[in-house]
Amino acid sequence: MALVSDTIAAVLPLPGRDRREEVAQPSDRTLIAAARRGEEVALERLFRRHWGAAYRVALLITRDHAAAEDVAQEAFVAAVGRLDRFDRRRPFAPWLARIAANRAIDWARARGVRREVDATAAPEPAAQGSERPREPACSEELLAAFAALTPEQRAVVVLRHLLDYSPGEIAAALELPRGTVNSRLRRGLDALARELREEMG
Amino acid sequence: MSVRRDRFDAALADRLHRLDDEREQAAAARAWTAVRAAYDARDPLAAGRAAGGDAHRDAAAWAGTDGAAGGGARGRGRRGASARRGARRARRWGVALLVALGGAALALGPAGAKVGDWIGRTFDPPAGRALPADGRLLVSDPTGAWIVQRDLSARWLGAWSTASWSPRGLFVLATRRDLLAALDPRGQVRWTLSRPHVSHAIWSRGDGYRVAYRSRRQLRVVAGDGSGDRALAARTAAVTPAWRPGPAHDHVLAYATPRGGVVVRDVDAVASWEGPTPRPAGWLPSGAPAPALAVPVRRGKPVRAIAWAGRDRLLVLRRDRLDLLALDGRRLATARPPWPGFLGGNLAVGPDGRVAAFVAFDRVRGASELRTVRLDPPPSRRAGGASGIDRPVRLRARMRFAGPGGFGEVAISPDGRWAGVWWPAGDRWVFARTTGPRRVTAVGRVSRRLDPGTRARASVAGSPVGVSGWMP
Repeated sequence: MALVSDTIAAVLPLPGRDRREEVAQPSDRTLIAAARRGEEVALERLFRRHWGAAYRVALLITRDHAAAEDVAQEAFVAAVGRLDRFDRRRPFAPWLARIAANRAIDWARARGVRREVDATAAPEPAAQGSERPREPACSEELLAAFAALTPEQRAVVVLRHLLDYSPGEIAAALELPRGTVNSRLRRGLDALARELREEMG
Repeated sequence: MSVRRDRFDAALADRLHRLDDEREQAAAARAWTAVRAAYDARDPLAAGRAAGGDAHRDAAAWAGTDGAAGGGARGRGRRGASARRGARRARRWGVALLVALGGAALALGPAGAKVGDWIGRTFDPPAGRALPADGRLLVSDPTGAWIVQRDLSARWLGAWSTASWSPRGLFVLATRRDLLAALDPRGQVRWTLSRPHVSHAIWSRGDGYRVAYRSRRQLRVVAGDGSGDRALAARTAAVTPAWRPGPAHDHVLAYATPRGGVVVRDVDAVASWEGPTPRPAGWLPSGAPAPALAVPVRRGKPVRAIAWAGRDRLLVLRRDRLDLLALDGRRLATARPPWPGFLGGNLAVGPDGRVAAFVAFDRVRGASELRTVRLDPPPSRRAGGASGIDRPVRLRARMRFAGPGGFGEVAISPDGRWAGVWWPAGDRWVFARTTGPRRVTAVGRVSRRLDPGTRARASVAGSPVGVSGWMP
């Protein structure tokens, strides 16, 4: 098999943008069945299809690029570990989003209480060789605005407005009462509106 | 008001969808390595179940997924409990059935060859042989990492370059190129961390709340759950750091510098630690915010291995000698080899700190030796407490086993009575008594038993196969 790292470099689709392309693509159910049979290519396609969503959910909740990478990666690793027990009749994307969101919330909570090692003497290494990315385009302002929200509010807002889930779907994914979802959503959006008022009018 | 909210919601959604982060794709490439590793390391029994049909799928559906979600305090759901019980029952029956079918298929002939591929990854125990002491060995070979039980049955953990035990043997720390991973003893990946050129990973003793590892030349520390990854030192030698034994909350680490020095630091301290004595002139500058100790640099004598001999003493194996050092840097004792061209190899200290074993290579003869050193009781165990550290210490290295070629990593049994080492030229694990009269036992044809497909590679080329640890 070709190096997947190369093929991964292809553009990762944003959720909701590639519906027409998806028509011609094998369904998640088909890919999961193939991956369970041992077809790594199927797993790779599944990964490519859902990486972007998992990463962005984690990024917007943790507001930390390295943590987002770790969280999204762990979500996929956890999914792979339970591939054989996965019910193919259930949708894959909400399951993965739930794992990523919950892990990201845990990470964000832990950051607040964790006593971390001081490492001022040593610089942080580049993530991969010299490919230190340039300053991102517009994400930093958005991430800064999300700081005004609790991790739980961020998760609900992200699932609603990034992944386009309904409040009912969010409640099911996060195992929360629907009223809790609605209240977190409203409070989170109010806080975001205050932070982004000038920018978004 | 409502219109304004709707407009804001729409604008926010649009902005989230346009969120463009180029790090996302680089992260995807790195993450795929970890995901593929987890996929490769999947339990073959599980894969067999999945491929063999979905007889128990309904019972197991969604079972255990909450655990993977890491949801912490969020609802785990009572609905999963009965499904999990059902899944466990189904799994037990499935495993028993598959093992029985696999054994029958192998016995019946070539038709079972495919099944035999993964059954063959289970160690074939030689009749009447066993490890000389209780416990489980963690070993590495060219195919990856294995856990070997006392009866020599083994489980393949996956294609990992190195592996080491967690403090109580509940998990295994594994590395592979740009990946650090924590596995359970079945090989299931619990967490991973992608960093460039990961090596020399080791779990803290006591509570296991810290993990130290090298990424390129940098020494880094991460919490035992994979969080809070931080750099500790910018340039270190290619030596596995050593955690100090002691109370659960003690997170003191010793590591080697490229110029032959040894630094001891409390990784949780932030510029508040005062060393036991002021740093003498000419000592290695720590350059770190919280140095506890700096051992003098010995030029041209690089450190090969470090191990703690109790809480107050360090064993440092260099190219030309083995030093026992006090925490303030004084050399308490030294053992030198009787031949020139000595190269220090691996080093291990027994659980009670009373015995150490190390591997030495004689370049002139092209042979290796497994030697053991008996250490006097640590000062805290003597009458007089810390003053005992001033007493002279004898350090006499006794040769326990010698053989042509190099030896792999060395480990000491949980009871401290046996040292085990991989001897590639003999394709054996050799076990030697650490104290008393010399006594040696061995398990042969190791590479053939671990993986028939790599027999030639392992035995001829002397691949870096080693005994990474021995755990109760």
